[in-house]
Amino acid sequence: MEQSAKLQAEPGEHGDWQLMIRLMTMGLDQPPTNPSSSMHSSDAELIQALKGGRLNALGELYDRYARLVYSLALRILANPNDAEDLTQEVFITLGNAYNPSRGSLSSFLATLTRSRAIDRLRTRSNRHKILAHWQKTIAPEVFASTPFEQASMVERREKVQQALADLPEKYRQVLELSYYEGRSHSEIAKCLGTPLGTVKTWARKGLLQLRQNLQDFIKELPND
Amino acid sequence: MTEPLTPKQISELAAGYVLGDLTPEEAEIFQQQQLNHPRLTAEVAQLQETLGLMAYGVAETPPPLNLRSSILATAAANFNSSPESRSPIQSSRFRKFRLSKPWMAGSAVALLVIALGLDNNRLRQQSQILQSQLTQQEIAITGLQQRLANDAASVAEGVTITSSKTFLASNWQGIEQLAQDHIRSLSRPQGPVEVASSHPAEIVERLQKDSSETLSLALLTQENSTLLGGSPCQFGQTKGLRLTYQINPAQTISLYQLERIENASFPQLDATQLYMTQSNGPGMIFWADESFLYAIVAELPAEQLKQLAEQVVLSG
Repeated sequence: MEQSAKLQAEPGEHGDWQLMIRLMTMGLDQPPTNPSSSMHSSDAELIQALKGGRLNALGELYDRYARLVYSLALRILANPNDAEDLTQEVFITLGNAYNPSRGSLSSFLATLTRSRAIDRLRTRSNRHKILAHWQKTIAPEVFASTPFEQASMVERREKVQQALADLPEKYRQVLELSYYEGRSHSEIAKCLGTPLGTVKTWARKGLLQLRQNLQDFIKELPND
Repeated sequence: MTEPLTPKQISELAAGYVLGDLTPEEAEIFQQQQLNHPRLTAEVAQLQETLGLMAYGVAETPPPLNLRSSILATAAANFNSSPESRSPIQSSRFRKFRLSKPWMAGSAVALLVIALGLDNNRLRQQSQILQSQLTQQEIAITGLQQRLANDAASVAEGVTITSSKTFLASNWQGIEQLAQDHIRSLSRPQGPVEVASSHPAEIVERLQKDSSETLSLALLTQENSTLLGGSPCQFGQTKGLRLTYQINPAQTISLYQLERIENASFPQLDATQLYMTQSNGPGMIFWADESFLYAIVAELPAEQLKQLAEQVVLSG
């Protein structure tokens, strides 16, 4: 049971504030494992083992996800040395950075890799901004129970690549320039010589159609 | 609004929100739609998920064969070094990594060291600094060390200490002002935010047009949370930024990131999270790092606020 000692000040100018100063320990931050999915609780177990200093757990995590991280880093950075360096950064910091309660490890890794890669691109090209244009430092909510998370890496790639290929060319082009190159829609409009409003429309319709193309793999919307 | 939007129009707004290209007018409409249609939060999450899956849209390229051993060697070097440098965040190689909980890193255990009797200079110094600050604020800490020493085993469950009225009434007016700021933001006729955007970069750009400084921005990563936008704020001499989030079910949360300045009207926290609440008012959790004071404010119980605080990461 939690110890606490609260003080209730006399009502007055500052109201009846109660205060508690809580001493936080690192151990309190261990999130509960997710018992609903054996696949992802094993990722969570590896993360726990890694936090406990078991480096073979890092090796296993690397074997599972290094291709995802490296391939995405290489696509965005277009430089093998930079992609290698970023992959190392992502895996070395993994034990501290990942919190299983925020989503699956694979989606976290993809999000972190893209965010870091875009940061590097921006530094490189002097298009320095605080964050990637999309709020992708925040892990997208790929839930452990989605069919996508149950699929193998090969199946995931096949499905997504097919879904992208099925988009009208202009939709796909805008989404790819945004996601893989971190370009704003204004930059894309200039690059393509297309009005900004048109680029926005293509991007929005493209994302909605991509969702449609991947509907069997993502979490269904709740009914109203 | 003159006519209700069609489901297709709402979906396109949601897509624009996720892509970060809503105009201010569209953002306002979207914000209103979110209030009226809780399901829209789930749709946003689904579209964010869809966008995230583009990571799998690239051709697979195997990493160089030596990368695995290089990473494991670096990790082993970190773990074999001193306990303080075990954390990758604290290692020199990756000091720049920014996705960390701001109140974590070694300082979080500063007072714990008293109970456990660890002989660690850095932690001891932090403990002394904190104790000095507590004394300055006339906090009644009598008995704390005794209590910790007597009951070290329970420290992991969380320990609290008391304070005095003076502590509140003398110097910490900023806390009262901050609570009022949160409450006022909820009743603004034009909505709770100055800059309506789901994109931190856009919010900061629009609020700091003349600054090219990179700022580590505190963001809430709670599932089902939606960033409504940001607003500048100032409490006495302390300036900062308020990000407003909505979580499911409809609950508005203010996340403050304030400059840390000397003699501010806020607590000088180094080693703790400070939870405060007021009858018929919001609850708050404060914490700090070297540069900023952070606060989560919402009409939520302490445990939920604590969980939210744990979902705040620095980025930038």
